[in-house]
Amino acid sequence: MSEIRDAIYGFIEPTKEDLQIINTPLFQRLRRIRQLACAYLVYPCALHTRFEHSLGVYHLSSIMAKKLLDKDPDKERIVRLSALLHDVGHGPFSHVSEHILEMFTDTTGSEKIHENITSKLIETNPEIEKIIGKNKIDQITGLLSGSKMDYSLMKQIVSGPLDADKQDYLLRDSYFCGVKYGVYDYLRLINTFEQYAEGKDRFIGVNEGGIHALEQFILAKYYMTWQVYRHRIRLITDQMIIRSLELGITKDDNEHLKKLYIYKDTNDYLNSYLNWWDDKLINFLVFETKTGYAHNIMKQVYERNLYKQAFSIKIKDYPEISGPSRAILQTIIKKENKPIRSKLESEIARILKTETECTIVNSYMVKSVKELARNDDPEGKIIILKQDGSKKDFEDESTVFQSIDESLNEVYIEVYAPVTFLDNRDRQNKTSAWKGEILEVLKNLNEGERKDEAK
Amino acid sequence: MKPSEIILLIISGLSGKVSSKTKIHKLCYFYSIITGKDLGFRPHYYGPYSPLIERSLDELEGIGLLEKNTSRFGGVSNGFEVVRYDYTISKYGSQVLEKVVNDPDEKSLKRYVKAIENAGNPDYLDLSIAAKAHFVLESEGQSLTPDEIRKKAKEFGWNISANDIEKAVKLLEKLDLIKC
Repeated sequence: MSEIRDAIYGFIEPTKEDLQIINTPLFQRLRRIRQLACAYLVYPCALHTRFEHSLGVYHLSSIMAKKLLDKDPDKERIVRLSALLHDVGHGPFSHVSEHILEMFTDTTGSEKIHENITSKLIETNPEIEKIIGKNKIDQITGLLSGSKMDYSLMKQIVSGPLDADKQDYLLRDSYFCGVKYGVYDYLRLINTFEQYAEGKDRFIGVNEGGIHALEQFILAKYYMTWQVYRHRIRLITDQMIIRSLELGITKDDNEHLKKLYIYKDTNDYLNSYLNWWDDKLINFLVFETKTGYAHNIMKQVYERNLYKQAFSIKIKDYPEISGPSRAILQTIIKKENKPIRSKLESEIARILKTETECTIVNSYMVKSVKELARNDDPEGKIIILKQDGSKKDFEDESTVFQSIDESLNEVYIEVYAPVTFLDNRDRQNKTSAWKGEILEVLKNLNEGERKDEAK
Repeated sequence: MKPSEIILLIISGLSGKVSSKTKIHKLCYFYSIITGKDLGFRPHYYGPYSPLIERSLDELEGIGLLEKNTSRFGGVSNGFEVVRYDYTISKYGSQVLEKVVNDPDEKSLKRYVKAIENAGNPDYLDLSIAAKAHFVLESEGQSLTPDEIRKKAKEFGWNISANDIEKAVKLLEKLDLIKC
């Protein structure tokens, strides 16, 4: 058995066969895709990659599988390998690529291109097939896509409210960002995991002894969301990269970007996709490409000459914004709202005196800590297994979460643009002057849409 | 019609207020069954559950189209609610509804809400049990007696009394989902 040094867990010990997977070029590519895209522009040490995160998920899922899967070595291996390979489909800048792929690909319903790519990359890789065989590959892709064993315990270890992925990224992102918000007692938490059956399916529950570790885990998600994942500069850099790539395709007609982000279900596409990672895309757009929107915006990201937040509101605080405008703003970043978003950005650019293409309207939702405890994960609620055999919702058992009354979701609308502020006072003066005018645009958003419809 | 608009129209049709998040889930579940519209429902410990409906509810609340009030009750949950969230259409939600008039789905939604009202606007508990009973019937794909439904439901981890099954069957019949 080999040993891999890890900053979070000390040693990770892959089996000989699993090490063969780790050594494939498909997996090694993850060393070149950073876990948090350009979050290092806020937290300089956040340079960790999908490679070590995947190893961490592998490590935690191994512990969970041993504890929960009735010592079934085949099931344990499927879970370990699924955990190891769960991120191989990530493109440059991790989740940023997902937005672009979805923007330029026709999808049906809830289909996720990124998940399709992950499954296809695993299914079509001859080295992986040679190491683990076709049958296991089918089980792994079934588990990752949720198309098979949807509600099984194995699925819960890989993707669920208490999965190994969340457990690792909270600890790892916290460590590498240099913040302490994501720290919780993961060994205690896993130690209190128990399986419980509901008919034909089995789920992960937490025994009574794990309530405090679970409280820490949920609070860690809440704090990390605000401190890292929704950090103002991080949101701006992500949106700048998205805009750079989008304009590279729509305005610059960049063939390489079109080849990378217009998904095709072919082996050629997959081979080309694997040849891109963070630094290669930065180098290509900043140094090899000399002009165009994609070049200009990516160069600004590269030099940390970032757009500024020109406007930010919590939508519920502004009664003057009509219901239909709210409904549009909530989904303004979705591709079906692209024409309205462009029109809105054009009107706001006029106020800010910036170029329309470089004026970005963004919206996002943040859940309160109480909401995170209730239903953070679409896979369901976390159940506490009582000593007397009964089951209770975590929220009803946790003294801390019972005492929190507020249970709200908040949607924020923000504008990022290449504006300049001389100092804090200048920022306050300018943003308060813009605020009234931008609110006027948001208020009348639906009127504009109606006029367009009438035409 | 978007899932968020379906939710708004259902709540609006029931006097603008629905007591409990679970009830909204179940009302959307039966609507999806009746119309064949895929709203992303899957089996779950609490009965059929849709992440899409969950997210839409959160977003509607997040932008203020729905107002949410929390009521807390004591006692053992045993798979049912201890905390209840009541949803009311806000004035902003009503403004959105004015826009969806004449949508092709509007008529079927109004018919559906009428059927719910005719069934006595059942509470979340009755709808939950009916949803579980319906899920069992769908899964088996054949006629079952109330006792057989109760036994099959137990296999899914749902303990439902014979009396509750009787009520559920009556409700499903009123919604034209089964024939006795």
